[in-house]
Amino acid sequence: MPAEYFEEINSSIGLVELLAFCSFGIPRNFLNLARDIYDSRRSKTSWSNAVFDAISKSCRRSDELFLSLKVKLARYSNYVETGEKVFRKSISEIKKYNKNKDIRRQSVALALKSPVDENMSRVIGFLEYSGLIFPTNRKISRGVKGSFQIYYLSLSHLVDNNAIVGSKQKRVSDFIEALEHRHPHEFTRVSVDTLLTEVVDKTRAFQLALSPCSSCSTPRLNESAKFCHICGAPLKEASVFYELIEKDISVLPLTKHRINRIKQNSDIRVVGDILNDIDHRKLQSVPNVGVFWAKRINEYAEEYIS
Amino acid sequence: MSSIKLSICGPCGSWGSFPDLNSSAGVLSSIDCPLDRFYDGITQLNKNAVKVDALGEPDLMSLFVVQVVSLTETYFREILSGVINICPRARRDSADMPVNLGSVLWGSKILGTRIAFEHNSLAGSKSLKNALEKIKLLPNLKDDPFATLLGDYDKICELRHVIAHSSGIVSGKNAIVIGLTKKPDVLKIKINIQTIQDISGLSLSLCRAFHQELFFSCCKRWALEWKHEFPDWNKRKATRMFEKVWRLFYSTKDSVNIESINAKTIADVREQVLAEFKVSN
Repeated sequence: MPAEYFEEINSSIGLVELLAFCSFGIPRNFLNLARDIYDSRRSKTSWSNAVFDAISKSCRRSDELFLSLKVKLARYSNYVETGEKVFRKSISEIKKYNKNKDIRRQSVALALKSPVDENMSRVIGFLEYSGLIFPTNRKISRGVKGSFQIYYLSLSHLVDNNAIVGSKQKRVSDFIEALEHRHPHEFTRVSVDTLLTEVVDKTRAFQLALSPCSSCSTPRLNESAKFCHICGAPLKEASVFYELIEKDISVLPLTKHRINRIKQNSDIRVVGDILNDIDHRKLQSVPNVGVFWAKRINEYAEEYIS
Repeated sequence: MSSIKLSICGPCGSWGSFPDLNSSAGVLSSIDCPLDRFYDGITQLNKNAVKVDALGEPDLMSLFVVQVVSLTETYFREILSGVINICPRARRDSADMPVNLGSVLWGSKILGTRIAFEHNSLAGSKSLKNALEKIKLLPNLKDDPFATLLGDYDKICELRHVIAHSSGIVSGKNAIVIGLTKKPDVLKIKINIQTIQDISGLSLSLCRAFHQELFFSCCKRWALEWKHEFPDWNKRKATRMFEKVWRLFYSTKDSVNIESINAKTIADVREQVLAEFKVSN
């Protein structure tokens, strides 16, 4: 980066701070933002436009990373779709909360009513992986209203969607003031049901997606497909798949002793529970099940349903 | 008079003669298991159906229905012929089946027992039942899965009839069998990719159900009857005969994709059959 550009960024009041906030703790994001601003400035775009364009691009990159999980973790494609809607709803709830509020009383955090079930936790995990959400260890109690877990939403998305400040004309200085002086007790309280209001088919929101074609590994076009649309091979029936993931783990080629140990030391009961344990955390919490055996047990489960 | 005839449509003209298909007739690939030939056909059919569906031509899509039934009929012809080839009792029971002289003249050596069902339509549960009765290998068709599958097969064959014989225009009987809602107008069926997938899936289920049932029946005959049919029956003969049954029924396509099939060897299954029918080795 040319020295004069570096000087320019440093001398622009609040710019580095805004980029830092919008990086959301990810160094790569900061570098990408700086690079995008530099590229825009080379084509004579104004500072303000360059900054907000760069923030938009950063948001698109995070969104693409999140949506790429649909391919990387094809079995969880429904979770990713649900996560997309949950995230959009979170932003709109924060925007609603911040409307007409003082600039120093803006919320950037979501207070999600506890307990958060395993499915929603998984969705949050995927959002966290993509840099869209940051869970804190903070829990707050509101008496009879319940207790809430605090999550920070991607600040670049809040800026891009004008969910904070909310003025017609976006100004770097306004966002800096809102972010630097935000009140620690300002957060948007929501329930899981509220976040799921955009989800049309709630029965499918957390449903494991069907296995891809066993011949060519192409994902199915839809649930009612009976033959692969690429190679023509017969696909496993949906009803059979859902039946198989509900089978007790004793159907897997494991010794009785190991199965009992898994059941005694975790809440894994059926084949679907093993498939849901993406990072094998639950399996590895079982005595004598390390990385090797956790991977092998997961492979047994995958083979069983394929 | 000729001008009167020509007042309603063009002249019949001279359109040539029936084409020479000798260059179009290729050698059929040899496949041991008829179910595998069915798999090859239905897989290719569904691959092609996706491409044709993208063209947006429902009339072309209709032709796949004809092919599904054709593949199913071919499966049944081949499996029943195969059983007659192996099973002495089936050979005896089917000995009085009429065959076309043309098939014998063409080359019964080449076609083998395939000629037994050549002139039989197997497009429908009734004709299928008749064919199975000939070799006395009729499972209980009143129970599921056969009852349901044969009912669906009849509907598929009826649909094929509509397409093949009246360009998709539905008559009263067809409509009733297929289960169409009564309408005041004449109806024409339009076929889409989901219909092709659904009927392919039903045909596959039907073929698999019969495949398993016929295999079980052949195993039973092998275990209990064939020792009385072959004067030279001994352990070696028994093993060779079981291998023939296995070759006819074992699906190499399914063995690739289905773990439970791959896990068993022919020896494992033979031992299981002996245990099932309480026969010593």
